[in-house]
Amino acid sequence: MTSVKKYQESFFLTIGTLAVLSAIVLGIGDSPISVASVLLNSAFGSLENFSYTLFYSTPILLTACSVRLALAAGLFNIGAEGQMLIGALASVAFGLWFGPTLPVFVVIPSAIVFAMAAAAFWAGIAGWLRVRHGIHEVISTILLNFVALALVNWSVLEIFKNPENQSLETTWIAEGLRFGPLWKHATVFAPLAIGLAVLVHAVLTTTWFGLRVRSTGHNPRASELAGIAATKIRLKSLLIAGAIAGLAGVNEVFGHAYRLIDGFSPGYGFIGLSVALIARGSLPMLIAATLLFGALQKGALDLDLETERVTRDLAAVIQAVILLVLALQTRKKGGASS
Amino acid sequence: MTEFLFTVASVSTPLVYAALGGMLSERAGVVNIALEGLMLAGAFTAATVAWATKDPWLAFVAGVLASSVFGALHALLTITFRAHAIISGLAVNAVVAGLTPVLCKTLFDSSTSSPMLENAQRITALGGRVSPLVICAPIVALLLYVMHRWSRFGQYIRFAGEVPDALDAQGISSQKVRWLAVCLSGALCGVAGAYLSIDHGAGFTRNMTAGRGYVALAAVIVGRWTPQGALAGALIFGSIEACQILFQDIPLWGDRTLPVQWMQSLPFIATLLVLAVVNRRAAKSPGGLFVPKALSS
Amino acid sequence: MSSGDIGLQNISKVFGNVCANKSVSFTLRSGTIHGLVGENGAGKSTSMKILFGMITPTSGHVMIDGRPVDNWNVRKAAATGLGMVQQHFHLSDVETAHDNIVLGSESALLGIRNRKAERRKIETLMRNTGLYVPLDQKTGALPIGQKSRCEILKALYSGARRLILDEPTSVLTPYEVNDFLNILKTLRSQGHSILIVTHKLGEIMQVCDEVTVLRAGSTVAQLQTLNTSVDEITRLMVGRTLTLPTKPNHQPNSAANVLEIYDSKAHRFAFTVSSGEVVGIAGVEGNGQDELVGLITRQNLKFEHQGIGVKLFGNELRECDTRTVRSRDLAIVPADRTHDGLVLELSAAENLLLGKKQCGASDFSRIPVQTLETSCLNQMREFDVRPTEPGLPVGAFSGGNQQKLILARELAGITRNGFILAAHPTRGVDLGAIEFIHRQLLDRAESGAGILLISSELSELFALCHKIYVLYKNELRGPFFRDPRNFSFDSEVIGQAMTGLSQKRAQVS
Repeated sequence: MTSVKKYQESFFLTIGTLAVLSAIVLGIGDSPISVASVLLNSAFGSLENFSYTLFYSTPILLTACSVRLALAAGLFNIGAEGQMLIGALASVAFGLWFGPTLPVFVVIPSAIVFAMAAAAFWAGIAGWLRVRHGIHEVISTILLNFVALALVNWSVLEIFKNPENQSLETTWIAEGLRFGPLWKHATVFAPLAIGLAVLVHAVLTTTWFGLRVRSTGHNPRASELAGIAATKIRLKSLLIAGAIAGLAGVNEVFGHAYRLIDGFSPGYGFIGLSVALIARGSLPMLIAATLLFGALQKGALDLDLETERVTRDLAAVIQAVILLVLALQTRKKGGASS
Repeated sequence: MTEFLFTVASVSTPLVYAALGGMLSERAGVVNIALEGLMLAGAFTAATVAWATKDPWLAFVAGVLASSVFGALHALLTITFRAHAIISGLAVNAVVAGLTPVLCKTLFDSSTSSPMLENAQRITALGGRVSPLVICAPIVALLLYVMHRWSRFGQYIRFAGEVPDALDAQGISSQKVRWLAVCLSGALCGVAGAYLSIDHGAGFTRNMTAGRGYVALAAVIVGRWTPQGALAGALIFGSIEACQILFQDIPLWGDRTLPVQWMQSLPFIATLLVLAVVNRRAAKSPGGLFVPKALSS
Repeated sequence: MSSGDIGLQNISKVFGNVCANKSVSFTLRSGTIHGLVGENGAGKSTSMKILFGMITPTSGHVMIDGRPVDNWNVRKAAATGLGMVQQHFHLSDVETAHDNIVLGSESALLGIRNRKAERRKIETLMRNTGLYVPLDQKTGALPIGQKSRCEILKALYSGARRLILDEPTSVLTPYEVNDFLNILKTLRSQGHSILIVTHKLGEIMQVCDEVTVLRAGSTVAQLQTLNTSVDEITRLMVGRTLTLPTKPNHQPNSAANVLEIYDSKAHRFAFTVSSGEVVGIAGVEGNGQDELVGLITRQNLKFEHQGIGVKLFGNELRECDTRTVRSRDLAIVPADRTHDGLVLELSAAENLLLGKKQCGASDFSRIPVQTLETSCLNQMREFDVRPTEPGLPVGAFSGGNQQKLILARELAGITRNGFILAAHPTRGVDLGAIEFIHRQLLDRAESGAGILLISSELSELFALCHKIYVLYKNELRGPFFRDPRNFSFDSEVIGQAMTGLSQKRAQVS
């Protein structure tokens, strides 16, 4: 499709999306204009609000990078959510176990490495199931997400429970381990996430490894015959993708809440999936889509407060409709037969 | 023992319907990971209509229709627009999962559940024990088996999933065959969802399907995409979940019971294990790993 | 054109920027066998599909009974008794032959099928035509010749009186071809009309009444076969005289063994390829070619489990995987270029990079884009790959150019005395590219490379090889050498070996 046609299509799809969303809002009984203005103001209206947007964008960008890398290798990493949870769990565990006894400059890097390794391991389970047992990673990662949820829930309640209150959260990690916010509400990991996104993009497009990954993703058979170890490349990509998603968990524990709150994620893994699918290989689109969804997350909170009937769940609906429209964009070009 | 069998029957029923639906769609060549969302749509609609009209059977029909509509959405995206089936499935799931709490809040002022239904609004069990939907499950499975092996439509579905071009070359629209298969799968998931909310349960709760749609998909894979296999797979996973429910409080060592979260994840872990074992065995058998050709990616 | 005749008149078809058909006209007269010939890319496939109603023409008419028709589609075509058998079978491997044959014409009451009635109909049909297949076997288990029969039975079962056959003999052994042509004659005597699309001119002369020649999307001639010859048709097809090689002009260096296949159990499956030698493996698809290629590339170890081994330059390949083998001095031109040879979504330059030498570099180092683009341009020029755009995705190139790109990549990665494994290297490729590829292979052989050429085109093997083996049902027959008097191969004997006859002879020699 020519570029002009592509832009035309994107334009109409955007209009269509807005139309559908407005219809839903009207159906609920609120004004789409007021909803839109609440969202815009909440996300970008002030520097403080914008820093919130950045805060939400950070884990989204990380999971999006994770999905993007796996996607390039031909794998759907729907398990980014579970890998993030495992990363969070691992980092809080490490922090609580070794925080009091070891010096800070040892604990922090070790915790990060431990968390990334644990998340990579979680992704590796799905990878191993695919390689050895032929189970498609879509279904295995989804099932593993449920297991991760249960695991985190159990750990928070039984092992690391904060004795001081009734909330579903762990004890706080030591003072020295906490990364203060970088700028208002954005965490330290925000620039790290951006750097990682650039790095992943650069690796995929300019290095030998990236070429092998892309080749394997498009055509594993031809890649094998050309001498590329397709299975190994796939596994490597999945493991690295898991590790990156794990970083999103570290961001929550070490960079924001300083403890693991059960249910802290509004589904960052799935949002990252949508972002990666929107971006489809373009770095600017990845960043733009991340900001869009990050803004939605922030805006959603204020929807509860500032509108009559719309709740934060609307954000999920908006994301879902965008994903739906996205699915439309993945359609193959027509031909004589299917 | 009878207690156990009754539990297995009631727990497996939604899985059976959803698995049969998934089997139809996938056998015709359309990957369908939207079983979860389709069930949820049926559950929500059935509960809402039951509360509004106080007629359980009208609610049942409404639930089935709603799921079929979402099934048609998936069909529209994947068949007519030829979008990527996995993304479309995820999108449908996301839309239903997002819309249901919003609609719930709008209608019932609570985003977590609909008002509880009285017995008159639910599907009554025969003899007070067994629901008609439970009894119908194996009957529907049998009907689908007959259709699959002996009917013309069954032949069309099997070929649509292997060589759709062959159908088109004979003047039969493989697209129409697939559309029908996917809408039917939506309808079957609607039955499963309605069962959850107005038969087994008494109303809609947020995310009440809790992953059953994915377990049903696993049952389809375990059953190698046949009706009898889907039934068997659903029963296997239903039994595992029944074990989890009945043995939740059994003390293991001393007084301590197995943590409830471990039991909750048991069905999912078991699903993975069963899939792994079955895949290995199938790979060694002479038939090899049968996957409908149009699905293998 | 009169009643009972069908055909195309001044058909043109444009797909986007590509003009597949410019001006195609031909007539299939009732009760005759008509040949449609042309190079790959001449537009045969498109015009066939237009006649069958699968594609709508950009301009021009489909003619039925001498009159143009509007809104032609598959349904209408089937209603007038038209049936098509395509080159790539539309058979479901997991269903029985019975189910495949009745597809679309099932006998059913209220939707439930009457298998007995269907069976009776099929058996009558098989008796009348002489085409037999085992009805209860899954078609996936049938040899390719029988699959082809299933397709024809399917067309006849649904009532076709006019058949369009696309390259029907490309998967048959020479003996099966004879049987097949006789069956066509039987069908003609029963009143069927048949359109054969093929590039096998010898068969055209044997069985067709008329022939239409296509070149570059247009009809250039419509001839009676009695009044023409293979040479004339070739000239019309290509538009110039071709100088295809007829034999290699050098002798191999039998002292240096490049490839050695040995059989440790039965001592029957064994041969060698020496430096400078072109060894051919003849045989119809499905007789062990994939397994043989897989043995060398380490992707299919079926033969290895049966005790057959391979040594490359004297080194045992038993312990190697595909990656290790690719780092050796060998070039592989796979049979299926779009699935095994190229990554269609990547650019030409990136595909050239998939070659082993460069990919051995360290994982995360950057690819030197500039230098590699220049070298890619050079390679593309050297191998006449058009258009010469390194950044173009490989899927946009034609079949012949894709094949030349693979050749460029592979030949760049070996030394003078390297080993080349070429499987069906000119399948689906236009004559000009065939000429080029054959020259390249012979040049390399002359410089000292050892070549194993696997092909089902006997003309290709006869032109390039020093010696030929035949694969039949996973067994090796031969070697067959050129007659020292006229330097040509005995096609009769080789044809027999391809059909499994003369078993004893092959074993003794």
